[in-house]
Amino acid sequence: MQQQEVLSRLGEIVSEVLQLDHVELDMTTTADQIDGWDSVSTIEIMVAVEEAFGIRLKTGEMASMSNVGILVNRILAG
Amino acid sequence: MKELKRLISSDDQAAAWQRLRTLATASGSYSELRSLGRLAAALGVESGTAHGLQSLRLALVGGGTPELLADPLRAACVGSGIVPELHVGGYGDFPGELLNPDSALARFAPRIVIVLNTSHELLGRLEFGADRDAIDAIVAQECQAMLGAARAFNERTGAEVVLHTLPVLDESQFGGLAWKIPGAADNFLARFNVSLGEQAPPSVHLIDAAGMAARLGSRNWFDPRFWYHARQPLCFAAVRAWSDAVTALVRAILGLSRKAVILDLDNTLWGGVVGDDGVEGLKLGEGTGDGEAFKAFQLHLRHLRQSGILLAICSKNEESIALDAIDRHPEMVLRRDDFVAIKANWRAKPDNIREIATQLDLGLDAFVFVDDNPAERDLVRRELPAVAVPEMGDDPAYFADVLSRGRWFERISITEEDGRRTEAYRSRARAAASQEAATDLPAYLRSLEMKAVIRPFEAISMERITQLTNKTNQFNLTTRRVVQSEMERFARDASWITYSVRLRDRFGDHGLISVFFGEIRAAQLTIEGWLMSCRVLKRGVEQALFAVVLEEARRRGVEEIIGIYRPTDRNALVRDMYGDLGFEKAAECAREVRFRLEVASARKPEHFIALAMEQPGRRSTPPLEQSVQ
Repeated sequence: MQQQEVLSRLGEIVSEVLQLDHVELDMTTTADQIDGWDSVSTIEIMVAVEEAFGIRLKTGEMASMSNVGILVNRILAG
Repeated sequence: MKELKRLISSDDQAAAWQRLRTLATASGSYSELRSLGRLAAALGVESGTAHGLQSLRLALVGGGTPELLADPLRAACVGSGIVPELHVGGYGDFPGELLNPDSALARFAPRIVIVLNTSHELLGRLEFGADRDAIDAIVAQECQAMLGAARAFNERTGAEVVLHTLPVLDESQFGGLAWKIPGAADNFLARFNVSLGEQAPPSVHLIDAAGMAARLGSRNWFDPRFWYHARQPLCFAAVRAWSDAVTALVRAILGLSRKAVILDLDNTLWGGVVGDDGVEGLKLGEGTGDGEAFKAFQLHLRHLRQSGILLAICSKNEESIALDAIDRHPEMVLRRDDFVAIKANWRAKPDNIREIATQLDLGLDAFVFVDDNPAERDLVRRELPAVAVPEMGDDPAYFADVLSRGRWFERISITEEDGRRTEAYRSRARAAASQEAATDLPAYLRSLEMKAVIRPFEAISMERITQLTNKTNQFNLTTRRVVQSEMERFARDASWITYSVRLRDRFGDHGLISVFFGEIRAAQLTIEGWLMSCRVLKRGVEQALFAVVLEEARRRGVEEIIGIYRPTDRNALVRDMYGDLGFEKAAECAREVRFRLEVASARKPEHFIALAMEQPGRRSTPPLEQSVQ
């Protein structure tokens, strides 16, 4: 899967979780730039990401997952 | 989901709620449930109640961060016909929020509080190597703290409190040895759960998290990553099962659980078709695997019956052949006496089910229909959407599981009355038959040889009194729902008059069937609650009870009695009751009609019931249910 593909799928997940119309993400986006992306919704996004991409995040990785670049690279790493 | 969003944006709220309810019942994933919950929240509680859902003030507190469970729980509630006004506590709110009289939770004034207590709080106190006395002391102390907080909140606010049993979350360190060491986690948690159940008062209810985690597997219940990272008490895969357990319990507390199972015969209660295979050819009991499975299913049903759930039969069969098999097959666990109605004929099943409902005086939403035939299930679902129709699958080995998993019969208590319910319904059916034979009403009523025991509320009956009050819809003047502690207060308070009525007749014992409570203020008695089980309609019980009330009112210097009728869609039956008892209409608005009666000029109502009044606590004869065998 390509970076762009992951970004666009991730954008769908984030907008679904946060109930936003359309969220445009790039590799530099961080949670504090997106309306409503707080620590609670981060967990929801994690759950949806695990469901959608079939990966399993480690406890230590969760804290850094409000950074889209890190998240995308983690997904690409499988 | 897309369809639902379209309905919402086109403002077709009726269809949107309909769709929402269907999806919320079917949906399994956390994300989907959460989205549905949010859509329900956006539609709003008022819109929900306007479209046939029941509103409920529900709170969720404690046990890590409950926030993520709120929307899925809301969705599951909607799926079961309830639209909650939801209060969600923050991290670490328990038990402070229950104990503080001015907490956000107390101010919210919930009807029901769900407390997500978790194993972590307790396991923190576990010292390995502690001896049995030390462990018992910790268990007792923690149980008391938890139940104390729950009880205090209930007594102050009237809310019912729901706690969780505590599951084992990790692999066992000790295997079987754990059961020899009270300080091992498995052993310790089991002791705690047993104590919690044994000591919980009637206003505190339990979700069996321990049982669910054991059945699902602990790693399907709890994910340590999400606990360490964000204090999530459940893993997301368990949210559906947990929400279903909560909604089933909530429905039970509200008196909405189902009351009866209607069963097919061929390939449902036994293997084979009795009309073709004959009684001897049926698969039931030892000999075949299927036969064993059908017999086990019958045993399961018998346990349901013994706990107060009614069983009825609706089968396409010749009546004589079906009855012959029920009476004569040596391996039948269920016999004719176990059923309150048997419809074995060739008519459409929805017609038979409607008839059974009428005969038992129950709404269609009180029934679960069990049939192995998908076509019959489909027909009943379409014709009678209020009836619950589980997908039974095609293997009788799992029938009991399917029926249990639906959680239709969840209850918060089982009283002695429950064990006798089938008999009570059967004797009522016999009495109805004899009423048809009798020509004049007084002669018929006299022939019943009715005896009533009318007594102020007593501790021994409190559970039944509360249960009856909360589940009676038809003969119920005010449909006021209560909690047991409230009823106990009425019983203690000298300014209240309370009565419960037990009735028996020559056909059998009906048990405790009517409840009355009213408050005296300045020589005026206002009747706040008056209700009766529909099993004993048109017997003159209300007249007999009112004669007692009138006498007591006179004795206590009451000059005027006020009766209130609050109309609902179920209680038109008692619209004219106060008028019939000689009251005059005093005031009327959409919500209620008030009637008044001057005690001085009131006439004693006529009835045909022999009365036995007994002082509570000084019983000269054994209680009724024990004296009738």
